[in-house]
Amino acid sequence: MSFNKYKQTNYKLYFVGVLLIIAVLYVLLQGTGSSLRGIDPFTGNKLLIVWESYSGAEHKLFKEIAKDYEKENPGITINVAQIPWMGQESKYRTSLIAKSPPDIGRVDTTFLPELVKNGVVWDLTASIKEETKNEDIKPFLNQYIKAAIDSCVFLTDKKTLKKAVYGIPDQSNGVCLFYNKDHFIEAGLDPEKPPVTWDEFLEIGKKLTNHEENRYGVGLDNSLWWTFPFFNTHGTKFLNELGTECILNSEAAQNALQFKVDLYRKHEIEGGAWMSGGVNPEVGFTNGKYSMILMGPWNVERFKKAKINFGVALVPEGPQGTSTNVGGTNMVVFKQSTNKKESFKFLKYLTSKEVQAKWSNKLGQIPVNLESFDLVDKSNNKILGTFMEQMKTAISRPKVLKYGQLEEIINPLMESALKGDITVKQALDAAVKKINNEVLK
Amino acid sequence: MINRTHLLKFLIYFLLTFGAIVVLFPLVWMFLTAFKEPGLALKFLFYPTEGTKYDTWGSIYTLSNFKNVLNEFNFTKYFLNSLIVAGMAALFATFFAAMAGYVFAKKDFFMKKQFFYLLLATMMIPGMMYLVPQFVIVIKLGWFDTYKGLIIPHLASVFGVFLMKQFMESIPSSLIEAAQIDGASEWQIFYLVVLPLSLPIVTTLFLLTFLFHWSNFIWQLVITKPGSPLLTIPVGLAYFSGPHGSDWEVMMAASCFSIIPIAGLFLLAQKYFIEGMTQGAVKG
Repeated sequence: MSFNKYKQTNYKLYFVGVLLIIAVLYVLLQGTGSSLRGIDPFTGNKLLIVWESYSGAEHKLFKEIAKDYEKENPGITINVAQIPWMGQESKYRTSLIAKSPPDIGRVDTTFLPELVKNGVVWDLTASIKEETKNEDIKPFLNQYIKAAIDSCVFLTDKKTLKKAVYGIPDQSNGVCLFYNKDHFIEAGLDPEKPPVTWDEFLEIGKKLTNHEENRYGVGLDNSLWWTFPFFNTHGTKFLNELGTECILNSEAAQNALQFKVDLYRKHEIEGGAWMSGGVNPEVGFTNGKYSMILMGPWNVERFKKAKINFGVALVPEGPQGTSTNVGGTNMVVFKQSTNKKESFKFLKYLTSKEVQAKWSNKLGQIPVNLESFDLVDKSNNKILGTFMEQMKTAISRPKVLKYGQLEEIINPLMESALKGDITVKQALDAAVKKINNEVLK
Repeated sequence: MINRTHLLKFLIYFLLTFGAIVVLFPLVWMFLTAFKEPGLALKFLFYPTEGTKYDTWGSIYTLSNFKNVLNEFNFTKYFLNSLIVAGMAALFATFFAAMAGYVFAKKDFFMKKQFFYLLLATMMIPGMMYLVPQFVIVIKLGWFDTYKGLIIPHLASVFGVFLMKQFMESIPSSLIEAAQIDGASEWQIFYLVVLPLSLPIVTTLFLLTFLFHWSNFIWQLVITKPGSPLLTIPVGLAYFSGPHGSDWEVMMAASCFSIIPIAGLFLLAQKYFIEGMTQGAVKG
């Protein structure tokens, strides 16, 4: 018997073989990517590579701003590259390993401490002094929302308390109180009079709650970030002045968390939005389950599209007035950039009052530059006006190397307090001990 | 009268139906969300109700998300890139795993067992541990932002070798000996005897590898430049997510496109896939 018998019946496998050869050739013959740094090969201009993670409309406007800057500054070319928000930290880390980070990168405020600790971002302090022709950098820093610029300033010498600036904020967000106006009307409340203090919030919450209809006055998240408005309005400090010790078990912090816990356990006006498997505040508000939630400006358009009749007010005042937590992003200049000073100049332009006003007017977002607040048209956007007002009292997050660790430690303990398994004091004492031992040690 | 067999059958069907609902729910939600008007993804709203703001089908459902995906994003390019990367990686990885599996199953060489166990031991190392070393190697080879960088580092699959070896051990050695008597070369035996007989496991491994590369986000993200023409679907989908949630409606429309090849491949190769999974399981 000849082996040709096998050959005749397996043409399909030969076809696969040919396909493999074609595929190999395609992969091997494909060109290698090249990277250009410092100089634009087409124009000879100084080239600034910017990695940003803006969404569609923001990306378009950012490119427009970059083009305007190029026109005003001949000799500079800005190469804008959009990277996805998700996975951006891995992207930056690997680019640093490959020694090919961009000149400018947009990073989350919680990622900046890691970059500073690893010494990969450039200290902007000298450039600020040079540009402003002033040895005192405070006037320059004061133009920005305090909580936002605070996230860029780091203590470099604990003995002399010397600080350095490692970034410029480009976007800053906080939260406000969102309330369902239809629910207010149904409960016989004035929809134009949202609660101003936590006491009023509690009273109104009771009137809005209807357990039979599965409707609750309030829906709250449990994470640390979402609990900061309670802590902040009660005058709580998270870390000591040097940032070396957690002091979250103070009396003020206990009062703040106790109030939040009582909304669920004692007054039964919070709908368990924090529970695993519960309806989260965003979904609950969209579907009319919760009448009041704390929310950021990013959901305004979504709620409008869902045709919810809602209003936005300042976070209710506690003993220390109103305040919000803050989130956002900073622009940093990487040390490996060959055009550091030019990069800083562009960031100064991007966050100038004129450009920030343009950004705010076109996108309806909070500008980071306080001087631009008067240039923003708030007549047609009352909600933006409320958020801008709220940002004046925003407090930045604690600057620790791994902010995520704080959330991992404190969230389960706060959840235990909400469930009534432990007291608020026990939860905060345990959190402080763990944070001091595991995060700040 | 309901007897025990009927009751058992009912119970089995009930459990299977329940399982099917659980498995299909995310898919149904994806399809419905893809057709929903922007802003309605998180609203429990599926049909029009008179007297509300949503009293027509048109007020709830739209095709705009699909148009948006095709017009505003380079989705066709992402799709083609993913097809090239996942297709080639699956093809080569399966081919190499089959060759190695054949050697481990049917050939004898010095310290074969030890070498195989050593290979198996590498499966204990989490995949993320390889990210940085592989990245550095790819950079040094000048393969950053190329198809080579996207495909070649993942062509060695120990899991694949293990699967192939287990399956090929069940092929009677007498078939190989018969081919040898007929004058077949080593390559002919592998290519014309062993490989066709292993088609179920080859198909299974191809599908699993394709699926892995079709959704391999982190490697495809770090190995390509931002805005690169080589971006793939997982990276493209990530552009719909921001720090405060996702553009669900558009993201789900894009996801609908992204599952087409996977669904098509599974439908086409369903017969072999099930055979491959079960045969490997009962091998003595």
